[in-house]
Amino acid sequence: MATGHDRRRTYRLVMAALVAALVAAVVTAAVVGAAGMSVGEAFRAFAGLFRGGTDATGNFPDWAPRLLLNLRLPRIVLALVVGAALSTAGASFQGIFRNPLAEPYLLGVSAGAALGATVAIVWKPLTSLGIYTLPLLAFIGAVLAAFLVYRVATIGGYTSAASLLLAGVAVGSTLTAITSFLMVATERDLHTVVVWLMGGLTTATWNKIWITLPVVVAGFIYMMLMSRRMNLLLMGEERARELGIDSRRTRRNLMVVASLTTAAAVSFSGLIGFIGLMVPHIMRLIVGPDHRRLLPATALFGALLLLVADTVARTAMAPAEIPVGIITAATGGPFFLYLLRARRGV
Amino acid sequence: MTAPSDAAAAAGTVATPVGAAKPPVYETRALQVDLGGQRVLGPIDLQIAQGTFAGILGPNGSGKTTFLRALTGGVRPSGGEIFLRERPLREYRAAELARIAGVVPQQFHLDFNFTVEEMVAMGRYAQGAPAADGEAVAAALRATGMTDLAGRLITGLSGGERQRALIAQTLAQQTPVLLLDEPLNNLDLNHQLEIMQLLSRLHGEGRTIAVVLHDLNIAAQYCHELVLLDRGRLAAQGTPNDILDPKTILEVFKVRVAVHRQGPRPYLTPVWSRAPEDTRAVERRVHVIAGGGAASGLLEELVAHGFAPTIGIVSVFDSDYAVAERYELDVVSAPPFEPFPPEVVQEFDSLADEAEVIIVAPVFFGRGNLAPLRTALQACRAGKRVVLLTDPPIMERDLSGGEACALVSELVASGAIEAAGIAQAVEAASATPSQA
Repeated sequence: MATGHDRRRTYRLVMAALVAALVAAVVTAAVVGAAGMSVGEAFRAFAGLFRGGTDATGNFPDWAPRLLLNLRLPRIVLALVVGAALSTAGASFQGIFRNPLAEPYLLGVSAGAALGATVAIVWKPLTSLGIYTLPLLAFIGAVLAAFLVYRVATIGGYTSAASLLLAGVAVGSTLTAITSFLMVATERDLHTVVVWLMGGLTTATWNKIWITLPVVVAGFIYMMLMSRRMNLLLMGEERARELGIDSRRTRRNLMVVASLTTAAAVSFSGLIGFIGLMVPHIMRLIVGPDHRRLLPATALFGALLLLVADTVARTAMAPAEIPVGIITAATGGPFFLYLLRARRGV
Repeated sequence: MTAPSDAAAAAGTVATPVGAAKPPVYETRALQVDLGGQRVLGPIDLQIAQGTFAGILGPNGSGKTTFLRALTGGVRPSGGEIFLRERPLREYRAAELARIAGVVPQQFHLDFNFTVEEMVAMGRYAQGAPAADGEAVAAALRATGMTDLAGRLITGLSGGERQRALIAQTLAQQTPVLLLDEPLNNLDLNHQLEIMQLLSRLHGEGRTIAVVLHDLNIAAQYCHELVLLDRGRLAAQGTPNDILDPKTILEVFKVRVAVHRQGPRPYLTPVWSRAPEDTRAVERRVHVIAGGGAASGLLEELVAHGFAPTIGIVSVFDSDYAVAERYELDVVSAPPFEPFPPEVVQEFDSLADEAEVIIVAPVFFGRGNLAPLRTALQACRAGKRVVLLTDPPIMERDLSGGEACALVSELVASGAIEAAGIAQAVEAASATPSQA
């Protein structure tokens, strides 16, 4: 039986294992790839980075450090950040709505981001704003969709989880319809839009990370500060209020933060599915539902999972790339079904 | 709701009862609650005194839960005002409330795999005393008998265990006030009593307790004060002895009960009523000539059929007298071991005169208690319906040297109805005059 004491020990073990796996995954992701150097060369170049750059011994090509620094490392870091963001946002949504099936997709947030991105791609005058046009519009789309859903679902100051999910699905479908119409209407950009929608980290740069990372880190800190409150919310708004929190405000604030975190991730990576649903679910089975432990474990596991998936995406059919969203969905879907069958209840 | 606060304060000084030792913990003034456009509660003016152990009673739909949720802040009043410690409830922040009043709600769902201990520890959220958390949780687990289940998962508990975990969570708050909504739900009798004893103990430690209960007897046994709600209104408030009488219970719950007052607390037993739907039987005045316990079964049966018979003349030590008292029936009583005094006989005569039917129970008649029989004979001759119970026969019950036998024969001759058993007697009493 899982006692509180057992859970604390499990948690420490899981965190240690996740950190070790993350280090291993980062190193692996850095040294494999389609750049035309051996794993050994790449590893020496990677190790060289920590000693201050180039190496005159010729153990690796002299372009290797730049490739690692400007292409592979940003991509690795973005995968980690996006993975952590999607999964912690998913854990928060599930907590806020007391529903293990809640996730950014169901709440219309992703559909809003998709519409923003599509507008950015098909409406040429906007492109003059530079490379941040797309992420910016995706971000705006995600936040607007979240607020629209929240407003629609709030009646007389009260927001029920059921009406919120229904509103999310309804708003999401409407936005997706508009996105599809834009795609069909402007066939020229169809391919670009579809690739973005499928999700990918191909265009990672440090600049994108400097925009995304602070939002995700701030969001995570806020979620951690609210972790005990999220535990109370699992018993419903009224019970949480009886135990001493302003349930409505807490829920609303958490929803805003989780939406912002999702938007920050989605705007640069496109739609990467199942991470937000699957990762918190698996971690809840292992470390329990207490958000004080669930959120850190979820962040690490989400980061790890997306990094592994992205590494597979860019190496499996190298030099061609598979959109990482396909990988996560293709593995996540069946795994999730297995979970549902293997363990009824959450 | 928008009344200026100084007006409310002025009203407060007026409404404070003169000479009250302590201010009430809760006070409602013209409290009204509407749900879905329907008035479900109020207006209610009520005080819950500091240190009381109040049971909130009422039939289904009487507004008990709504009233309690109004006190917890779970529903907003649509009119009137609730004061907690003389300050409007709506001015409290959730965390402040959670340090004053612990709540055990009627409904509780937690579908996530917390352990019992983790769940109980959540009760400590607003207490702001991390150093005391461990001991508070352990004490709450002990008090509810959940210590051995501390490591179990909530989702694997039985309904009763879950209920006790919920109570433990509230106890962990260590609040001076406890509000509980049917906390005995899902509990077997043993655990029901355990929880009530726990509440008694907490009350003894100085806490103020308000608890919604279904079981009138449990409420009467443990609560010091009862609040009776009926269709959203306050029907009565007072001690169990004051509140629990058959008339009030019949009005509010539409159930006939017998009230036993042998112990310090009243005890109710329902009358398993087989009364016809119409209330004709209740209105028909029936008088029973009783004594020596001869009428006890008959009285129970008459009450069950919706009658409220008058009784007499019986001695105050008589078991028929005890039955009359249990059902709060009018009774003409006399001192024991002596002939009935004339003023008592007079009182009996007037009751017999008002009655439409007189039933003569199989009483043992001696020279001291023949007066009622004589009155019955006069009434019978005057055309009143008199029912005689004939088992055992009068010859075996005549200790008056033949006088009782003679009176009974005359009664029969005058048209009194002879009934072999209780059922026939009740039937004869119930029959409409035209059938008689």
